[in-house]
Amino acid sequence: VEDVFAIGSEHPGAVLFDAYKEFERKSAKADEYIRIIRDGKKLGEAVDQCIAAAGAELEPSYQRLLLRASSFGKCFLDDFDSRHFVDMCHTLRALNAIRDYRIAIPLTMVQFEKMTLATLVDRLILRRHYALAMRICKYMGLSEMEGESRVLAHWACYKVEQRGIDDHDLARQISSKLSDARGISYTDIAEKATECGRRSLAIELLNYEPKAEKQVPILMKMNELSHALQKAIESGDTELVYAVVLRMNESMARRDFLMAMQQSDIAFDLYLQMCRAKDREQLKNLYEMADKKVKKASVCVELSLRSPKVEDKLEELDQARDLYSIAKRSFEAKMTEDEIKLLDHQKMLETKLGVKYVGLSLYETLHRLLIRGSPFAEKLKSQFKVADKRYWWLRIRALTAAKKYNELMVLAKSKKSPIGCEPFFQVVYDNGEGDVHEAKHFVGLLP
Amino acid sequence: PLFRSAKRVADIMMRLRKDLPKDVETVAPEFDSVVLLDRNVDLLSPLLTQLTYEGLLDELFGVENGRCKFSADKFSGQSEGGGGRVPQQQPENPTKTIMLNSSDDLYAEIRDLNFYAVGPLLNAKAKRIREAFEERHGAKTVGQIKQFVSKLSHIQGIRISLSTYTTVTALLKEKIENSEFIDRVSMEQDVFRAVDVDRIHPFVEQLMCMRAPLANVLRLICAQCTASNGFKQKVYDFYRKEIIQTYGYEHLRTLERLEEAGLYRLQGPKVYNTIRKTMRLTVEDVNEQNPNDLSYVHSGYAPLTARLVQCLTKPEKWRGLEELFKYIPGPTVDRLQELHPSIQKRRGLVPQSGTYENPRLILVVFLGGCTFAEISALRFLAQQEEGQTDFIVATTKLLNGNTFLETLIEPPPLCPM
Repeated sequence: VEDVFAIGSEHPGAVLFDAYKEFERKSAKADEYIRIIRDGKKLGEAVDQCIAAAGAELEPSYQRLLLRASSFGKCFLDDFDSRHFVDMCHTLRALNAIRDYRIAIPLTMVQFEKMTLATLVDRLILRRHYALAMRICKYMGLSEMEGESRVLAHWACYKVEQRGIDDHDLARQISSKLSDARGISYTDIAEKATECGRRSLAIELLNYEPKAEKQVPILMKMNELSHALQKAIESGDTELVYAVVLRMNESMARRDFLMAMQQSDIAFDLYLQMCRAKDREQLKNLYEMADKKVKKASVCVELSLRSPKVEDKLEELDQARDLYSIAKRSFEAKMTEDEIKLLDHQKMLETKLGVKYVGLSLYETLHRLLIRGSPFAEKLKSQFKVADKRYWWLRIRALTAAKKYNELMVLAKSKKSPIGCEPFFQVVYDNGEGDVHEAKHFVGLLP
Repeated sequence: PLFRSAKRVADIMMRLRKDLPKDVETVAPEFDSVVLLDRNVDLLSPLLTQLTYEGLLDELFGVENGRCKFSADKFSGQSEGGGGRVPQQQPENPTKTIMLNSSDDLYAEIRDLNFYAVGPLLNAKAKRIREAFEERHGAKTVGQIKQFVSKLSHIQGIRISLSTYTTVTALLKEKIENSEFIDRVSMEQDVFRAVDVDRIHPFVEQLMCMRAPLANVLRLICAQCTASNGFKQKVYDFYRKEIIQTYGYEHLRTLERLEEAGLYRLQGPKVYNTIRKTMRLTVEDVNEQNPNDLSYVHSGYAPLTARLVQCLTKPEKWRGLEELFKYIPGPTVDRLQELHPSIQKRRGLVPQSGTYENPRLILVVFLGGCTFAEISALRFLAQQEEGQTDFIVATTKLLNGNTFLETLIEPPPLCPM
């Protein structure tokens, strides 16, 4: 500033300033002065000096003069980077605003540069001049994350501490102010609210938090488990739901927990899956409670399949069959009943013949019996009412597998086949390369 | 909860986007549109036998992570490099692994073709290579010889590729030139054309009598079920009893799962034919050598998923199809992401050709898996668009009819001993 205003100063800035004054007075001397600087190639320097001086000035009227001078000088420069100028204008605006007696932070330019904009905003926040802070952030082009959002977040926290306003209204106020801003962590505000003991406010605020991973842990901390569950489900993140369900399982009373699980299909399903992995008996209880007999029966079936011991299998199957009957699923009930009978037979066969039978399907069991030529096959056929057609297929396949081609030919020629002669050929042919030539014998039988 | 994946993903995407900081918002998006497809929208396509080269490879040999294993003895006499990138063969290791991706030019050419078009193509290429190789006799001057030599390594490379894929094609042919395969594909044709669908019944019965693998049988049954809009009680009961008695009691649970997935059920609303006709799923006169329509992937059946994406390439998009969407299970969702003004670009028209400046990119996401045939269909679409549209396909899993159903088939029971 001194350089510019000192009397008789020869600095380019001073000359420029004078030039400008002359210009205002519409005097030709302006041109003279400009030429002086220009010839000395100091116009750029002059402009910069004026700008700097403006920055150093505390009085807005002088700032304006200096800026106008520099602007005037700018016109004569070919390639001047106006950013510097524009920045200074912005900064000055901001500084003037805070030097205002209402805010009363008399900051000099040097202090400001040392302090950085971010700190200034912080100071304003601390003094609760939120609106000004917001405007400065926006005006100075601070990124949203650093600027507006931060201010709003602080403002919200401050508001939360205020006792005067009712929770619900406050939540609405906050959300309407914050709705446009991005990157605000409602969770932090909510935490503040909890600290102040305003639980319902905290919950409402959490509703606005878009990131469920943040919402849910806080809700859990606050022991708002049913809320936490709801939010977790909404988020579609199964990990979160699991976390909440586990927590609920630990902390809630059995009955309450089970009731809570029934409230939501998704939670229930996840809990079911947890039980499926760890606790099948509990799984059955759950289905019983939910009166889902068919599903419960299904679990029994699963358990029977997974138990290696036949006695355990039969026990589960008994349960399953009864459940299916009550639920009027006659097909499933019948199939289960059949399986029970079949298992009994299979167990007996294993003991008698020393070969695996348990767990095979009905037709597979018959297949293996037929290969051995066991008379028990007929018994099994009549007990399970296997259709003749099917039985013949089984016989043909078994004889082929056992490579008893003579018997097979006898059977084919007997003309009693309910399925015709083609299957004879087909089964032998498909049986493998070694049997193709056998198949030729059966070709002759085809019509 | 089953049929809603696409909607849920869309919801989550929109929600996550709301929270993006402003500077990320001004990054121009890569994709013009994203299409999220739930597998439930089209359950029939994965059940049908894929007839594209890569699709068949997957069905018959299994393509895992872009690799396929064969028994090495068929490939004897091959030097290293080129199409079969394989480390030193250990004598005990009888398998040869082939990398399958478009970095091999020849594979890129054949992978999406209908299988029946590949043989002739390979033959033609072999002929050209032979001719190119014979050129060496014609090269008299040093300049000509030099030219030939520079082409040599390229020719060698193609030769090796050619040899590899010719062998692979032969292996595939072995597996499909039998009445089992041919009959099956013929049956599938009857099914998806909804012509005399019940004719498949004795065929399936016989398959079960012969104890064909359960996945094979289920594919046909479920396909029949979809095309018939569900089974009449008699057929419904018959099949399930046969399945349990033939393959085992554990399939009570398999049937449960199939029912839940909508693959095996009683008669419901008759939507199949409507969808089939409106979306032109079946096509007569398919030219397998030189297809003009993506239905070549199943020799006359266009996957519904591919047709839905095809709609996007037309100016009217999905207008007029809202009625149809009622028949397709699951909610339909259309969302527009607002672009920040600074990045809303106009797709400039290049004056002479009338095409757009930059091709638009569409991301197609299959939630629940997709087949190689579906991917080939989309590639075909992109080709037809002549550089105006390109697709990128993302899927939760690559599957074929067998692997698809195997996830639903109950494993055999644990037994004593």
